[in-house]
Amino acid sequence: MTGFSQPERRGLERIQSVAPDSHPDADLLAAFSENSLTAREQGQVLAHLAACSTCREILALAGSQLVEPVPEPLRKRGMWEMPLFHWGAAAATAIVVIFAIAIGVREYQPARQTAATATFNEVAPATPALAPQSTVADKVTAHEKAKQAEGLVQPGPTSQIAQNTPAPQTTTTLRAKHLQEQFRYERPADESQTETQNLDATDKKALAKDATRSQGAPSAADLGATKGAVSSRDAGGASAYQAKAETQPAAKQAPGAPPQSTPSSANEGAEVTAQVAPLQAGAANARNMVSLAPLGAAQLQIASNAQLQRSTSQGWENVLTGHKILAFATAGNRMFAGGANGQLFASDDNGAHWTPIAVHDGDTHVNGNITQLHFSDAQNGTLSTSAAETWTTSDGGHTWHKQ
Amino acid sequence: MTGTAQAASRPQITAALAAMGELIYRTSKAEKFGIAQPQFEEWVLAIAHKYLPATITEPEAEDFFGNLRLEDLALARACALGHERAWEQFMARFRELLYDAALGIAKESSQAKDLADSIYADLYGMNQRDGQRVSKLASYTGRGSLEGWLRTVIAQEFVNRYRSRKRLVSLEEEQEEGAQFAASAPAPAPAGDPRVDQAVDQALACLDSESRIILSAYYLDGRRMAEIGRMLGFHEATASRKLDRITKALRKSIREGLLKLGMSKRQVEEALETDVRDLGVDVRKNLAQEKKPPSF
Repeated sequence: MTGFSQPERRGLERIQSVAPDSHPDADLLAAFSENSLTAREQGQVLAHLAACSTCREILALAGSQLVEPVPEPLRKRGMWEMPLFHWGAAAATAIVVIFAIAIGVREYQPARQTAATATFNEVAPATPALAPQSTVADKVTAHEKAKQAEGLVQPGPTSQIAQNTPAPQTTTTLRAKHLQEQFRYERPADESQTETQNLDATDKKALAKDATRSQGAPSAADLGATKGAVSSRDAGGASAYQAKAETQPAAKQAPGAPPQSTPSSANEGAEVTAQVAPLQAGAANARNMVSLAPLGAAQLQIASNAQLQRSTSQGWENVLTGHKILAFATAGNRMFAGGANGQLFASDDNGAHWTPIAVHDGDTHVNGNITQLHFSDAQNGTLSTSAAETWTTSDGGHTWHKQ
Repeated sequence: MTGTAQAASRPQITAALAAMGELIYRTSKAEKFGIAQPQFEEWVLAIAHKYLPATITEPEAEDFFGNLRLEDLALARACALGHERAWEQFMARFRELLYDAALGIAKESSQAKDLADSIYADLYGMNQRDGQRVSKLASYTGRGSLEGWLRTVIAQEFVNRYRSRKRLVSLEEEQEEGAQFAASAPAPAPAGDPRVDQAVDQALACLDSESRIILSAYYLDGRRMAEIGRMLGFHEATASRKLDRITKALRKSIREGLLKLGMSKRQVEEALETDVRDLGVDVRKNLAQEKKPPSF
């Protein structure tokens, strides 16, 4: 690391001068640690901390027992910081995609595939992560080819799918089925050993971790361990899975999955790829892939003004505008949102449209605001209100009973 | 400023609170502590007036209210009023945290217990002012979580105690040892080239606050990367990369500044020689003989 000179040290000491009555109070410091301040306040506290060793010490002591933040994805600093690299990566991806299309087209029945792929290319949203110009279909095919090149997936399933899949009514259905079949494919046992031998040490470690990890969103430890194993060539496939899974109505969702932010550069696509790294490393556990819900259906979040928001390829969009939402939950393919004055809504299309649901048991109606919603499975759920009422449902939220 | 005067000075805050008041009150669950809605709204209004600028808009005020930790606020204020049920809930949630946090900060169990007991007394309102019980929890405003606020309060108390104790010990030592010859004043540092300080100050002024915090925390406070990362919300590996990048950028900026001010390259390099404190050189090892002299 570059050393520090005495003039630089003296310069730092000169800027350490703060008026004693300008220290932020404990509330502001705590809110700063938790990233709960407005941008203006954040700037003010940062400026104060730059000049006040006392407050820096307090902040360091107060945070000494907090959980360490998750590391950022490992990357080659020199290359990644060069803007030219992004264009080079985009060009390389485009070349791979062109070859993949040429090869992929041959594997499907010509008449059926041409129509499906053409339609899908028209409607599939461009993935913003790495190559904005390529389509989701291209990335899925590229991802598939990448996995074949690694020897992790046999080329067989795609041709089998093409033979077995009936004429699709929509391209979405075809692509969704293709993804399901791909991830549900189990290789013969004798191939597992070869596959393991082909993996490097990082992949083996991630593989072992994936084998013992329970279903659901990968833990912070998983992200930290596997992010380093992700290469840029896999990012396309990862983005494809995320983008496509958003339009896949049958995809399962993990409760409490963190919302996805739209990556603004190729480098930040690693955030997406990190969540798919377990998929690659856990190729032997193909059955678990579909249930890895972080890349499942649309994500929901409640903004600070109790506005419900739904994730889309363009970012977050407000839904149920005009309604104050305090809680949401998913039950199978259904989403629920509840809030002020006992209002409950359900959506069967990933949050695009919502239907109000009356919460009543005969003549007894719900009181208070719905502050908690929980579903243990697709049928059984409970809600709690600010009036200390608890209601349960056993038919997927159609009818409710007060406890 | 009275509530009426506050309402008149910033009507947008009052309007935002009026629109969200019931939702805020119900979300806070203050009712279970016997706190009435007007009382709770008055507290929230005071908090908004404390932190929000005069130019705030109504939607921004709504966002502000939406970000408050309302349940924690209700609990803290109920405890400050002496509500027994609130205290039961507070102790159930934070009793262990209080002592664990004090131990994590003080690193020594008796000191930690002393610290935690002192904080607890302040929170409970052992002190009285004008016959009125004064609880530190009355100052909690819900901007951050109650847990984070407690950790910060404990850290503040520890820093204050440690600094006052340091001065106290020094005074006692001096008295015990009797009169001492005062050490001679250190020789003043040789006057350096004023252009160096000028270039350094200019370069530091161009850095953003976060960069200055990282440099100060590492080179002045002696903080480790993990501590710096936790302070600012990123991993220690990120802190290390940022420090390296900032230090290099600062050095480059200073060099360019000095060259513009007329110094030669050699003069610049001499002026910016690395401080020995940062070299990590083991002088003892370097001065020791490499091998033992042969024995006779």
